[in-house]
Amino acid sequence: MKTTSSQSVLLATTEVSLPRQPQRTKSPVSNGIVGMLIFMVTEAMFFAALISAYMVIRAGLDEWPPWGQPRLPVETTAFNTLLLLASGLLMAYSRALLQKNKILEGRQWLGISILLGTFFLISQGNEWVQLINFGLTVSSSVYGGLFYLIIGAHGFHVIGALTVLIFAWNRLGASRNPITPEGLFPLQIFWYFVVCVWPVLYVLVYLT
Amino acid sequence: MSQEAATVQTDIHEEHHEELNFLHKYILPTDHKIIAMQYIFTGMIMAIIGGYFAYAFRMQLAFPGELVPFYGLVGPGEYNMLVTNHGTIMIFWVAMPVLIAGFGNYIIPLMIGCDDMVFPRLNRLSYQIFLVSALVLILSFFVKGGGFGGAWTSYPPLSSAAEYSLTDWGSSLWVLAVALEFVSFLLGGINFITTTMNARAPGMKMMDIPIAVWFIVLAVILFMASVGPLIAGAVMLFMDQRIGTTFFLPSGGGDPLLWQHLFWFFGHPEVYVVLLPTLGIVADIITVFARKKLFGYRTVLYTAFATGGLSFVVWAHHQFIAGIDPRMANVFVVTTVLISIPLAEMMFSYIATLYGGSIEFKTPMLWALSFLAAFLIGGVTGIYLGASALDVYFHDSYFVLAHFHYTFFPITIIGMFAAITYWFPKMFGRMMNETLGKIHFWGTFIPFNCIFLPLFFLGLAGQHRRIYNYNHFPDLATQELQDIRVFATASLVVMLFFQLIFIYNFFVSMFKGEKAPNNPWKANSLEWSIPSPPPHGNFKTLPTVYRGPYEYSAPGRDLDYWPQNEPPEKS
Amino acid sequence: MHLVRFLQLLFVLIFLFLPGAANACAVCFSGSEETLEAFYVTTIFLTLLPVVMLFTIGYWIYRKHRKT
Repeated sequence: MKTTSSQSVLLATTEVSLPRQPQRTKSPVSNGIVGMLIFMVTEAMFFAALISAYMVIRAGLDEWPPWGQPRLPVETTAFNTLLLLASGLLMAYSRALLQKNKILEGRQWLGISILLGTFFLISQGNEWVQLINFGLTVSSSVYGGLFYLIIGAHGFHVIGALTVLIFAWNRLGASRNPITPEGLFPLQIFWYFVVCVWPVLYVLVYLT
Repeated sequence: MSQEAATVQTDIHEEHHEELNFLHKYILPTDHKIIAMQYIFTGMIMAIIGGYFAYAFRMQLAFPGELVPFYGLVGPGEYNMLVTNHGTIMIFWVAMPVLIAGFGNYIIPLMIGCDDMVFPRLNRLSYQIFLVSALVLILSFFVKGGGFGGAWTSYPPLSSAAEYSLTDWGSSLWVLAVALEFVSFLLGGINFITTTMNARAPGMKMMDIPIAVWFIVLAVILFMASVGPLIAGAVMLFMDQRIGTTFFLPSGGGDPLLWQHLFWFFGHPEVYVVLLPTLGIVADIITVFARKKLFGYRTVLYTAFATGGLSFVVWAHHQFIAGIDPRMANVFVVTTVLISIPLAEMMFSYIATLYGGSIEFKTPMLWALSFLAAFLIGGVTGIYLGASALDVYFHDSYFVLAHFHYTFFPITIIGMFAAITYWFPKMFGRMMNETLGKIHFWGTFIPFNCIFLPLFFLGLAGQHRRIYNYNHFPDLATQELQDIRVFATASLVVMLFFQLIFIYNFFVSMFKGEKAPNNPWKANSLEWSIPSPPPHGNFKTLPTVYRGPYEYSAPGRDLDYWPQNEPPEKS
Repeated sequence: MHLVRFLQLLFVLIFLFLPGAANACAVCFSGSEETLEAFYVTTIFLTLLPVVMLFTIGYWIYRKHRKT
């Protein structure tokens, strides 16, 4: 595939050089959005399966958390949750700015959103270190295993989303090889998904 | 803007593409046709491995404890490994790559009239991950302890701890290979759906898409919506095996039934994932060779939607004796029997298409018709198994085994041969030898029935599936039952022998066959309007579509076919 | 006609009130009530979720296409 920068050039030349080429009807939903939505369905099913596993295993045990296992830090994580939700809101705000073609402002708020996401990740990592020190490990009990599996799976998604978003942030409004707001939108959908699935996991794993 | 630009840009690509060097053409291709070939050839190599495994364990069942020619002695653990990997390979590394990834990649862009998939590099990545997964699976046969032997369903606790499975790394590599393979199809699936939705040729409406493309896309949607739980399950199983969690081990507070839920939540839609592409390919083939319009295009399509929807609510019928609540089992009995209604309707549509047509018995048509016949037997026997009262008796017997081979063999092998013989002229630009093709057809179809029909009777006699030597079971070691086993094995050897004819025909026709014209079968769909084999970029100019793909023997026309891109005559 | 309706209803009710544990099922008694419930809930959850999601996305795309 050609890069985005050459697209506008190609677009300009097409109309001149190929007047008789039949045109496809333009789809109202772009390729990136369709692809990302389908991927989201798969991801939602993945997390649904993890949630189901948690519910089934938990129902089979009388004592939860099992004897001798530490409690999870509910308050710290509540603060983290707020960070992540704020990050999601800022992402929506930057999307709104970008749609109005305010690229620089949108880029700024996108950066802040990414920063909040990174804080979430660091704070969660810090929490993990403390929990390991308290004796909650993957193999200490099925409770620990489920905790690290579910929160870890979400953490991997945060890392993946942040990585692609940082690359996109770098390319947004760049002089060479820039990314358009429309090209960025599927990545933002991914971030919304990561943000939206977290409160569900928080309530499930930490609160109940 | 990006959208318009993307469309235009793909159009322009074909106009001035440069000649690609060998590395970019064959090793790192983004051309959907080359990727399709890679999938098909990898799938066929895996099919040979799977067939070889079947040969080895069938020989052991027919002549227990004797040396198997070209294999050696089959021990109990090795027998389990052979059975497990035969099933795994045939479903995940033959049916899925050849029918969905291979032919999906090949025919979707050609049939909907676009130059390539919308995400070509994602497509390439998909094949590369698939290749790695195949290599990991092959590697798992050679590690210490041998390949995984816990059946393709891989039920824990047997599969989740090395002290039970006795294959420490074999089982872990198996899980890893399966998970990688799903990631690969996930990437491919995103591509298929998006391409079909957004990159159709001008004028092609939803109801002008050939059934083959529709069904592959539906299959992919089912796959995408069902694969998540299995990936989650595979991760949990891998963690159980390698880092000491106890998700599926009751001793550590886990629940082994949980795996069955996660596995079969994917496992049953998976059956329809591999079934739908073959049904679609067969629909296209029978209309071409019956020279008749498909009977009830919309009916066929809607029955497929119904099948897809119902396929999510039948999965617990695999667990009737696994300890699920019998009240829940009743619900699943109803849904399971319900799902045969749309499929039966589809079958009737196909038979109605044949009725009154002027049928040409070319090789692809023979395969398509044999698919209908064989799949009918498979489907009808499934109704017995869907009833929980009967399933308690039939479960894990050879009746189940014969049933799903009567569905999977037509789907995978017959469907694959139908598709290959039908699209061979387009793929390689040469015709296949008809005589050899017909010999191969009869040499496969008759032995296939001779293998699996007797197994129904063995199952009714109470023969359990996972036993490697029936001599230890006095009730099952009788001479009559042993004769049936020998007969089935002999049929298998005959069938494998006839595959050599196919391999010979395939390669000789590829290089020395008669040159194929653009449209050897006089078919309507878009792929036959371009040269065989299609050039890089497929279409010189984007075709415009004026009608549906099944306008055969239209009244008031001299030709009995009416290509989709032929402009209507001015009256 | 009413009789047919009544029989249909009866048929459904019979399905609902069938015994919870059949004698043929060797392992049905081992699970606790909570586990059974969890399996019920997760089964319904997993079954309905893909249908709902696919339908929503399909309808959304259909509407987008309708508008243009």
